[in-house]
Amino acid sequence: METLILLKANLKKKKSAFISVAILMIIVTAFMTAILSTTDNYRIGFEKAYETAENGDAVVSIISEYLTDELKEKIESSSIVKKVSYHNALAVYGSSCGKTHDGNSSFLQKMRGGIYLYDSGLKSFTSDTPKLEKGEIYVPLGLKSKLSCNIGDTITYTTIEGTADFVIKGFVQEPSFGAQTIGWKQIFISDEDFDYFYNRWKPLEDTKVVDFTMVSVYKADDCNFRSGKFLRELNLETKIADMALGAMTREQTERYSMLLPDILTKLFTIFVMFLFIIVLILVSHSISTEIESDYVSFGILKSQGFSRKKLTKLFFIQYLSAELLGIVIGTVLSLPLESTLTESCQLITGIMPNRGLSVGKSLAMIGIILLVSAALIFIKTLPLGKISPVKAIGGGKEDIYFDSRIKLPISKTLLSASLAVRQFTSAKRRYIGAVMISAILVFFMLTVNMIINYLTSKNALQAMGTEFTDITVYFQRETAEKYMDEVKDLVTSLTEVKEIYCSDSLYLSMNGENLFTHIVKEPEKLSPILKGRAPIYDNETVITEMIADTLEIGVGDEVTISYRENEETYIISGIYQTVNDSGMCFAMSEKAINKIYPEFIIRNIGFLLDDSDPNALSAEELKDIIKEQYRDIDGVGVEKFDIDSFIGAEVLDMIKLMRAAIYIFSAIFALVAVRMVCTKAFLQERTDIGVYKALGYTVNRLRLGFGLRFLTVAVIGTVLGVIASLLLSSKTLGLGLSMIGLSRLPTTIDFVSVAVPSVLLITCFFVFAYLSSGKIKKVAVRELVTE
Amino acid sequence: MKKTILSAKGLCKSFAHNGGQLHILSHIDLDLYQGDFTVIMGASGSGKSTLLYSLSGMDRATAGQVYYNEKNLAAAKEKELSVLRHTDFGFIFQQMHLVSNLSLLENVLVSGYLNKNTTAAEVKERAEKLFTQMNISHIKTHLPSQVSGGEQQRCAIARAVINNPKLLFADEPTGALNRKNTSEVLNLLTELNSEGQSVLMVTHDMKAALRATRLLYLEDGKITGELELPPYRKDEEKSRETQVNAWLSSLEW
Repeated sequence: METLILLKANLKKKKSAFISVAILMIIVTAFMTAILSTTDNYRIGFEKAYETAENGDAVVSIISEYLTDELKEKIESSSIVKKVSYHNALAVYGSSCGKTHDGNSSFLQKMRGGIYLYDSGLKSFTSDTPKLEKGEIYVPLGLKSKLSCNIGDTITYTTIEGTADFVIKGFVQEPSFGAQTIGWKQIFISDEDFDYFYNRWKPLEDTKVVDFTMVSVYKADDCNFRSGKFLRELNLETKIADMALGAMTREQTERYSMLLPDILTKLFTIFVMFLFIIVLILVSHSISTEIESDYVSFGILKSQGFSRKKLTKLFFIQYLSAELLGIVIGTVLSLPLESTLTESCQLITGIMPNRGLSVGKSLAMIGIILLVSAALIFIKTLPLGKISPVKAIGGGKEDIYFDSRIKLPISKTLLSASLAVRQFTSAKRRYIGAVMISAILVFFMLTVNMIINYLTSKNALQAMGTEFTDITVYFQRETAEKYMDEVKDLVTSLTEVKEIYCSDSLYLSMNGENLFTHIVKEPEKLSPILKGRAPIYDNETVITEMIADTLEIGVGDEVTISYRENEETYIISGIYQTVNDSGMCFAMSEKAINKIYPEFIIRNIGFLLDDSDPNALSAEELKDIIKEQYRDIDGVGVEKFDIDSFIGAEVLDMIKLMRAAIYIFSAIFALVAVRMVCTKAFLQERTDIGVYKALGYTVNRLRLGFGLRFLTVAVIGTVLGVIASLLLSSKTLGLGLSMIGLSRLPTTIDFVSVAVPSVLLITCFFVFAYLSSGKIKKVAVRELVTE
Repeated sequence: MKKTILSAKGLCKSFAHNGGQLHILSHIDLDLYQGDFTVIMGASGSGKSTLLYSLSGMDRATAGQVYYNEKNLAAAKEKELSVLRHTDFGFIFQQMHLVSNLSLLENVLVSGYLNKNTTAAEVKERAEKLFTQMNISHIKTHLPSQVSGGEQQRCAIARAVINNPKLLFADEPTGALNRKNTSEVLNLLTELNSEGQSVLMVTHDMKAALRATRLLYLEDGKITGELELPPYRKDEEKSRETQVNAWLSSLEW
């Protein structure tokens, strides 16, 4: 009963701390629960989609001619294979809708069961899938954002004999290649169209590049391999992947489909965890100052028989009830937040997610939060045991200030500022928490800016292993041999060129693993090489860290690289970094691949223009000239680099949304932190405020002093945050982005990226402190009177 | 003919108490004169400090006016009062109220720096002089917590007079001091008054009251007695004490 009375009195007196903790916990819980649930919902959605679409543990796209009866027999009789299904497909190369172009291949197929059609709101599937008519297609949802297309739009595919137009009838869930983040796509056309094109293209010369079979291979029930290892073993046994254009395992599909939600949730989780640390800092600060300022009251309570345990219980109930209140409201708010997050990821994953909150994980998280908080409260309330009733009754409160070695003189010209600095330096302990909070917030704001810089800066993209070019000319085998040098001469004669890259890609097997292979004419231009050196000789290759980890190989090791029936031993000359195929990639020179694929020639040439000359031709002008020059020649295409479509407008929008969210929540956290610290400072300095007023200091000047003091806090925090960001942001992002092959990132912080969050935070701290110090008005000089 | 420096007309001060009104000051008319060392005496709860703060503009009167330079302080804006506090008035409190994270010298400087008519160098020079006069030069860099109560109060006096106030208000300046320190502080106030400083002091200490040139007695919120005295001289203290005692006895002190 006595605890209840004290608790009521405490809550009344310290409602600001109670409300602050509750608000912060609302944010932490809402985000954490929404993030956990979104990730879970997509995992469940993916599993369900994969099962219903009847996809095997590996889907291999193979030229039908190479899928011999012998190979089929080998696959089907393998002890690790349960069953195999085959779907005929026609390969088309490149697609465009309006002004948006995608150079990746697609596989046109007849519509089949297990592929569901989304309704117009993308909230559910239609009960039945209308039959496709001639000229109509169903496309995976991931293409909607990739090609910026809608139902009724026309998609033009580049086929072996020119182009073919199809009208989009609807979007479907195709879980194996359907995500926006996956290059290849399975497109569904009418039976009539399929038969028409099949019969039309089949007799053409070089038909083998059109007639494909999508082979779905299922693991045997007793096979315990993960899908990656399963395909590797199967490939070693049958050479199915070596013979294929490419293969995708269930693990890879899940990884690529969930890439963006995974990255965003990982980064958001780190952010929310830091926010929780901020909550702990504030709770810790609040308890310390409460014990300090209520020293006498606690002493008196102890003299009346209140034990330390009883007083500690007060703090436990007070702070944990605030957290619980925040958790309850936060959980309710996480419902709409989860819905928003889930919906914003759907166009990228192409998957119908599960809906609702992950109750089990959320409860576990809440348990951890409360446990950590309880441990902190216990530690911070230990000084209650040291309160002496005798000292307390004698008014033995500790001084609120501490002697400081940093004693900047009080200046007449900068009176408010110098006093603010003095208030800060002589009560540093009170502001350490606020400094840490501002440093954490700046660190996060800079980190998110760094992500945006990575994705929108040409230099950053290059540093991350993207062969960045302003304009790329694509050839077919014959035209490459004939025109590539001519195009090179044409471009260099028209404008200044900084760099020329000749490159191509295909899938090859390394030690049985079917991998994206980057082929370059000049291997010395490969960058960044993280370890070792570029593969300059024809028996060398470089691999990514992800491949090194997956295949457990490193620099100096020998690997077997195979293409169809041919295989050769190569030496790993270095480790490099690239985002190609999310880091599951290796690279070699044209000379090196010719050892296993003698007829291979590089078919793409890219130009990085020198934009320092204002009179130089723009990429757009150059594109038009090349287009015009080779208008009548089939097999020469030209594309201008567009950073938005390279990254994906949805991805950029989501990351910008994340930045906005981090900025907004940083401001809210700054507000709560400042308000809490300011209220405590105000309580402790009430007499001083009265003294200053008695000396003639105006309310405005005193409030300005409060503002400046927190400005000092924010400036110190910002400096620490910037330093931390320079040292740790790349590493932190490396943790989040290692899943796309970026473990070592360049530090790309420019002036604006630093200035905007710094100014925002410093201004927030100053303004919020100024506003919070409005109570100074209420301090009457009369309070100094002793009657 | 003495020059009036501050004047109160019909000054009333009441506080809300148990749903009713508690009248502390009741229709006080009072003139304070330039150069006087005016001391207000009275029993505990008689309203001495309330009168001091109402006269100085630190507290708002419930009714009536307080005129300073023809300006009614009871109706003045907060900003105008702030200016007065660092230009024309000085304050000394019973509990010193020095800012604890500023050194003694800085406590004085922060007050002096508010005066726009003086340079920082002039303020520093005057502060140094006052510290010498108050005999606290040797501890000027000390924090308040590192010096005695008497030294703190001397610093508070220096702070109160740094801007050459026209009127110095002192609320029981010796209330928290021992005998030795009390005497030192009173000597300083007397010295300042002899140099022309007008002082209004509240006290219930007889020793402090002896320094007055004009004594006022407050009872139940009204001034019920007044006694004029010549400037204080140490050698006349005994006879002065007898005179004041007799006066106080007549007022049933």
